[in-house]
Amino acid sequence: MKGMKRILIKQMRNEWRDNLWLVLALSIVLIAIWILSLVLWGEIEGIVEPLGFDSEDVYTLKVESLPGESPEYVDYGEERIAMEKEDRLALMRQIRQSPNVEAAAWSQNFIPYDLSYWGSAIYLIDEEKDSIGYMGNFRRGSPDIARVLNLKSHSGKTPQQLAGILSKGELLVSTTYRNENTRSPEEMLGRNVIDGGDSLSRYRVADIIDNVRRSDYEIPWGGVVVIPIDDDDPGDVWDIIFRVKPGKGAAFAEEFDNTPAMQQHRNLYLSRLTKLTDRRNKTLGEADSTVRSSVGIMLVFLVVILLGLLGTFWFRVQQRVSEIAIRKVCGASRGDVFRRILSEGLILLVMAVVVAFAVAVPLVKYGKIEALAWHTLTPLFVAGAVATVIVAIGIILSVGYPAWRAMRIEPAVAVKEE
Amino acid sequence: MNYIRQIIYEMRHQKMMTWVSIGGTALSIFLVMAVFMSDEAKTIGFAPETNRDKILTGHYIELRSTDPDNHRSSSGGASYETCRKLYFGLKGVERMSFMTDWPETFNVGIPGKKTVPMSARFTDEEFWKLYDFTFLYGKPYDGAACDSGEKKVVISRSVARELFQEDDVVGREIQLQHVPYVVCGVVEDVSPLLATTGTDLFIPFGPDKKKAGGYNEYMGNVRVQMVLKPGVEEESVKKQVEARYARINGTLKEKKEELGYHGQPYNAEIMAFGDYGSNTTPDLEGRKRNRYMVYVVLILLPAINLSSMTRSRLRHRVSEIGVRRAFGARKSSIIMQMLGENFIITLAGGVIGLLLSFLFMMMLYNVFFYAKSASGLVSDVAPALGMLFTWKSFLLALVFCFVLNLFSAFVPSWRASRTVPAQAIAKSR
Repeated sequence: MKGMKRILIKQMRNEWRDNLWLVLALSIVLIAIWILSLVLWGEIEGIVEPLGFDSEDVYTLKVESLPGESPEYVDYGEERIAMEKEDRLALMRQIRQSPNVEAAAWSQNFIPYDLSYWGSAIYLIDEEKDSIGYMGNFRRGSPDIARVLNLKSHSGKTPQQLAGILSKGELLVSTTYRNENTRSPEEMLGRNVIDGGDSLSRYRVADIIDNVRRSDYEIPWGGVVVIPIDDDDPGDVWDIIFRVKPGKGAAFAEEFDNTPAMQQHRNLYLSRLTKLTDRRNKTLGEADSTVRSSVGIMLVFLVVILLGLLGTFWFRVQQRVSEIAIRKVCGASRGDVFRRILSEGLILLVMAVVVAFAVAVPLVKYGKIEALAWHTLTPLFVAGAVATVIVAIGIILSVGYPAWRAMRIEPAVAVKEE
Repeated sequence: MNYIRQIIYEMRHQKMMTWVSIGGTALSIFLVMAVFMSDEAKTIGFAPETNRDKILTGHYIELRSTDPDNHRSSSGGASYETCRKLYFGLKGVERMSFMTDWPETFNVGIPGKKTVPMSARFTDEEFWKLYDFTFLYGKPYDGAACDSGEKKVVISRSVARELFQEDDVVGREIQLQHVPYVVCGVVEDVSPLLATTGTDLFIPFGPDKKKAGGYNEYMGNVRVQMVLKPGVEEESVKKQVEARYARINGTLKEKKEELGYHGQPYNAEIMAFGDYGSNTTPDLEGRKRNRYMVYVVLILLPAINLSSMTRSRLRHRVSEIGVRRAFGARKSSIIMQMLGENFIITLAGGVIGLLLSFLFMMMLYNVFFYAKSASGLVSDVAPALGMLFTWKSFLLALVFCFVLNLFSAFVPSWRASRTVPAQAIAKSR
């Protein structure tokens, strides 16, 4: 066995020019697959993180105001604020009274997939100078938002219990990402805080939930702060989000179309009844397409690489038909011959991995390439391993088929042809 | 002729190599051409934006503090008045149209029918002269309708069919946000690939809409589209606009404020790929650099990969090369022959790749690239073959083939040409 290895190394040394060329080509291919995998991962990294809400059976409605030039417009005069509040409450009552609706809430920047980011921070009151604070996307919703989106408590509270917390005027905070400039949610739990954007508002943080994300793909900035909206006095909110009973979406849509009182109350009316999943598809349509085209490019690219490997190893094996024949005559089994040819390919791969590693790691860590700069070492090494496995599979396939064909040739025929 | 015969011989005796070479080349050319064509689809001119590549857009405004102790800045769409001050009456401009910058979503319906959200743009009468819409019925609104803010609307064929189940609906009434409007024209549907004209409804840009402001007096939701007189350079217009910014900034000095100039007006390429916001200057060069990098990666890597194969293939012919050298063939003629042979194979792959990319763009564009109208009424967004079937595409595919060939075959051919005849013949025995 040792002798075999020595002969293999000697044979590879004899063909060092060709092998060096192949190692360089394999290294470049490895680096390319490595970096492309990292870029692709950067685009979709968020898919492994929890979304923080359930979108099935959730719908949204837009509250709109009749323009002054509409024939239906009623001039409220100085009573406008009070009258519009009545209009809002009447419309919400209609939605909640529907037999098809499970829960409905007011939303201000709480509809997932809207991609808006209300970035601000809350600060600990008891700390003398809390200059760090907890940073995140401020999402405001009336208490039932917890039931509508089925928010996920870390302490095992039900959405109903989370709604209870919000109705007491307390806050929820979420898990955080990219944690450089923010306190952790655990540091905020049970503490009194002030709103960085409105220092007069004081709250108590009552529970931690999963981050309610904006997109399936993106990794959020910081966390999420859930601030309650008063159900009886929601203010100028223009979005309603609600959960229908399981499978009752179509029934609600029909009910909505046939109930004028549900659609309009004096100057305010509801429009754009939209399923949250449809909203997602519309908002993330472009991101979906980008992911599809990136994956498509990657796959075609890999096929091209595979074809190149196949062509290269095809010739290498073909040149050794007589050698294979002599080995078979001398008693080598098919497995021995196959292992020998494969070993050569894999030794070249190992050399290429060393070269690729020496180039790719500094390139990613210190190359100031924007698309890669954020990567920690783990995805870097995982992508490297993935690239190595892909090329290894390519080499095994590329060596395997021509080797199998070569081994089927009768030794006498192979040697005679030479 | 001998060339071709030899190539055919090689191809017939090395079937696997032939398929692998042609397949690898075809897929490489397909990839790079699909990326190129998807970019082209975003800037190429076609009706009603036939002159898309000649149109400049002036939009966005940034008002920022010049006080070193105050870093306040607000930016977004520009107001009508700001746009007039910055762009109206520029020298070298043949035609100019004012319109709302981003389409608004309106609930549109007819009595007794559920409303549908549709995208609407307010435009002046010049808009209809700047773009070549196909009017199926009726005609566009005129300047008088814009001046008085008349409740008229031009709708697309899809909107007419959605609301009335027929095309000729001129004179009929529709409700926009519960306000009645009369349809004055029906135009052919526009592909959502055309961001400016691909909306469902067009409404006269009346005085009330022009007055609508934003966060401050400079901000609103208005843009200017302009086409230059023949021979006028973009740069000369940009210089004039920059000078107008400077003039306004002179009046803002006392307030310790200024308007940030970010290279307006923008051409179609910047609009599609500039990757900018209202407070940043478009970085088209950076985007171009990234794109060139993509082309290099997509061509160079398969080339390096294919070159290992070419190298192995030429090793097979080492005795032939040795004999030729022994009979006096020059190194350069050996290199040229090898490159020529390889180029013909590359070209065959390139033609297949180019055809694949045309097919891909026509049949799978919707799957891999995003372009949808706000209402979703116009779903056919795939670019037409006529848009993509251009000399530029062919020329580029040919250049890519040439580069691919050069990278994959030059080094192996050069090395093969250096073969010492006696050694080559001895090795082959």
